[in-house]
Amino acid sequence: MIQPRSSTDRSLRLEGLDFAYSSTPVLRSLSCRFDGGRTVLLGPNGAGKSTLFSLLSGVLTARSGAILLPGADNAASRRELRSRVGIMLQAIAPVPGLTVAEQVAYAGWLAGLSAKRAARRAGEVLEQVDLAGKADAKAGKLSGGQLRRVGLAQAIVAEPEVLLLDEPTAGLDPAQRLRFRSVLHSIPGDRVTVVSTHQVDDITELYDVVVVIEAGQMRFTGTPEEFLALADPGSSQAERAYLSLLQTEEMAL
Amino acid sequence: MTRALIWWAKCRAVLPTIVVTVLLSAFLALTGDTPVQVPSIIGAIGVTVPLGYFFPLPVIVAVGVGLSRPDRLTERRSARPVRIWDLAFGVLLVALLLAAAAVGPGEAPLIAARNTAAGIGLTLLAGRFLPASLASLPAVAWILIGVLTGRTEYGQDAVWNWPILEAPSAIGWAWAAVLMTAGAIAHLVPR
Amino acid sequence: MRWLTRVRVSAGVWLTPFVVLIVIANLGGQEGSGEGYPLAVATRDSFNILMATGLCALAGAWEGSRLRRADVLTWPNRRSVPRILAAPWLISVISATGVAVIVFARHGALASGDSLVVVATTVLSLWVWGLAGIAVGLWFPPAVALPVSFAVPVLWLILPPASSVLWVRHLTGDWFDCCQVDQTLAPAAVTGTLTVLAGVLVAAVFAIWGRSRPVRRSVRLLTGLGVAAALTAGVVLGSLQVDRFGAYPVVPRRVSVTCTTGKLVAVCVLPEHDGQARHVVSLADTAISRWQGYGVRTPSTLTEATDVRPGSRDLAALVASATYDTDFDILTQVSQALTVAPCQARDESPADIVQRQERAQAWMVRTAGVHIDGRMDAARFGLDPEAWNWATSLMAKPKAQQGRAVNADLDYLAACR
Repeated sequence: MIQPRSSTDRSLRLEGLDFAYSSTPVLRSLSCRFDGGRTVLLGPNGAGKSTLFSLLSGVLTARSGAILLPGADNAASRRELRSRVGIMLQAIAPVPGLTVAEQVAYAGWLAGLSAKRAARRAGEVLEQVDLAGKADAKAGKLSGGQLRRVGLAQAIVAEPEVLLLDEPTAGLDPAQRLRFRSVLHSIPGDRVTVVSTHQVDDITELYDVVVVIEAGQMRFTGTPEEFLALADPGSSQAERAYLSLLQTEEMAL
Repeated sequence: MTRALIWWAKCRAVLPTIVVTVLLSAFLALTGDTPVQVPSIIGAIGVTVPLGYFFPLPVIVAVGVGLSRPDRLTERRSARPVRIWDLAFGVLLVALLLAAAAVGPGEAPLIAARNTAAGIGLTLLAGRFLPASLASLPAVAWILIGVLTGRTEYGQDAVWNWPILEAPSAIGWAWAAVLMTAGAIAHLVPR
Repeated sequence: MRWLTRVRVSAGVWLTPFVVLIVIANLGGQEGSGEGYPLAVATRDSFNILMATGLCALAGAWEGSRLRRADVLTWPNRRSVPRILAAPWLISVISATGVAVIVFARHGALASGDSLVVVATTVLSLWVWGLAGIAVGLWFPPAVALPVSFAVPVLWLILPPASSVLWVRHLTGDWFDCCQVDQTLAPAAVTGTLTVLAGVLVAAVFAIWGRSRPVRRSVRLLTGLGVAAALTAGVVLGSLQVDRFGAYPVVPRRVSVTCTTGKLVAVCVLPEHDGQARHVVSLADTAISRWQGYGVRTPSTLTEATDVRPGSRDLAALVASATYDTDFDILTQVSQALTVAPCQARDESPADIVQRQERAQAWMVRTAGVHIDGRMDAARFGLDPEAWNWATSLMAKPKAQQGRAVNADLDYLAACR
């Protein structure tokens, strides 16, 4: 694993990130900071959340700007991003021919764990995501919700420094969402965890920081309490606070 | 590492591909030289090719299937040598067909091995730019179109038509080397 | 889905340039005998068009894969499965069908009933393989379905004709060797092909039915058995219809000839040669008039009718598959018609038959009084130089002697059985 240069800053920092698909800009000089702990990333569809995750995980390369990993003073290379950042994508692909445990272990080995440790960690994380009973099942036979939990297991199996979770609770039933919360709580607090989601009703319980982006730019960053204060107390307060930040006409009430 | 190799092999359907290739190799040694006369459809001269000419097709499709199975994004982000293993596997398949050349009669096994190498190289190259499900299609199409376009004049073959070039043809082997190399580079260079 | 969207995202539409390329590449190549004969034109074109079955199946597999990804057929649908599949099926084959119809029409293959059968079978092949592709796409991952769907129809066209079992080729719908103008396609060849296509169609329907059910082992088993049974039945039943044929799936053509009467001879030709009949008569009159001057007994009728029994000096059989584009062609055919010997059809004909034929023909073409462009030698007429030299020495003798010698040869040829 690549060792960062010494720095006391343990946060993940974005400095002036720019990205566009062909001529369509997606991120515009986005600067942001994700401290250790759990950050929720909110934004409408098309805001650039998934693209940001792709940049942070080294899948895409920004046109300009820099990504600084925790403890680093220099911009991270794609290789560093790939080795130190774990990501759970929106779409999880079952790998034919592998059991659930093998798929998670394989992901761990690909992330840099030894095969032995990857196999052991696979068992542990499958327990965490409540899929231990499906360890020997073929990944292709799982339901959508189960597959998402496999994706979560793949993301955390190698215990990455930075963990990105893209819509982790989509397709999960309430019991599974509670389970996800306990998984989230089990991640050490000094790790940077960023969760992209559309669910805002439990942000005060789960997250330390709220970041809202829209049209590739940041609209808000602050604590959940500061976020909720944007709207009057009452029902759907979080949703109202969220909407108050958006500048798109059709989104604002 | 053995465990990881097994995961990789299951992911790529290595065992079924090897079984298919070994069976084809054996069949090639026994019957591959049987001539097949293919009329031309594009105004050129029809071509007589050995039956073994078509044997690379299932191998190439199997390799394409293997490349389409893994979680591409997870593998793309990895520094593990899985792409080198893919390449080594392709070379192994070609070697299995070459083994038929050592024991079988005629030129068919050599042609099949050469075309398999070219086809696998082209599949790896196509896999870089096309969706994984389409990776083997260019190679399959090139082989079939090659045999259907026949020869340009008596005794002469189009330079691009490596599938039907005879075994001693240097151009044919050059194509195989070029495609295999291009495919290897395309597959190994990180995206 | 709006039709514009469907067209924009359809593999069948995107593959159109390749379909066109395959067909255009051989649009001009209408070589061989029977030019102008709609059936021959249709079978030549159908071979090229049948290569597009691979592309139709590929497009179908693409559509099927798309439906498979979303598992559309197992949704609680208001629309029936045929209705769901109708548009993908149509879009997979529409461009190939359009190109096929245009090519067939352009070459006059829509002109007769015989050729229309070939056209219909070809178009049906495109549709059946398109649906088979959809079925394969519904069952297998794209990495398997796409290349396999493309390769199988093409290999089906390539490999059976290469088999040592000659009749197998007649099951593919590729009747490349059909037909000369005095031949037509044997009905059993058509029905045999249609039977195989029906087997493929039923197999595809079985596979689609299986995919529209919740996937259980019993469904998979039933589907597999149904597919295997349908394919086997199609091939077996089709084989039973064509296994009596050799390399050529043809039977004699029963069609009336039209006679044009000249001064000395009547020429009766098949409809495909109607446009040239006048010129043939004119040239035949010239030649026959000259030969009669030597005392050679000449026929009163030259005919392409297929039921003519050779052996009569009064009625000579023209080769129906011949061309009459130039005076050289006509002179060759007329002179050959007089030298036809019944015993040629036997495996063991007398050794001197060919010699006598060539001698007589060499003399006739040089005394016909017909001017032809180009050189006048044995090689051009495909004759033995010895025969040419014999004619040269005969031409130095008195006219009556020449006539007697030629009559002797012609009588010998007519009488040999």
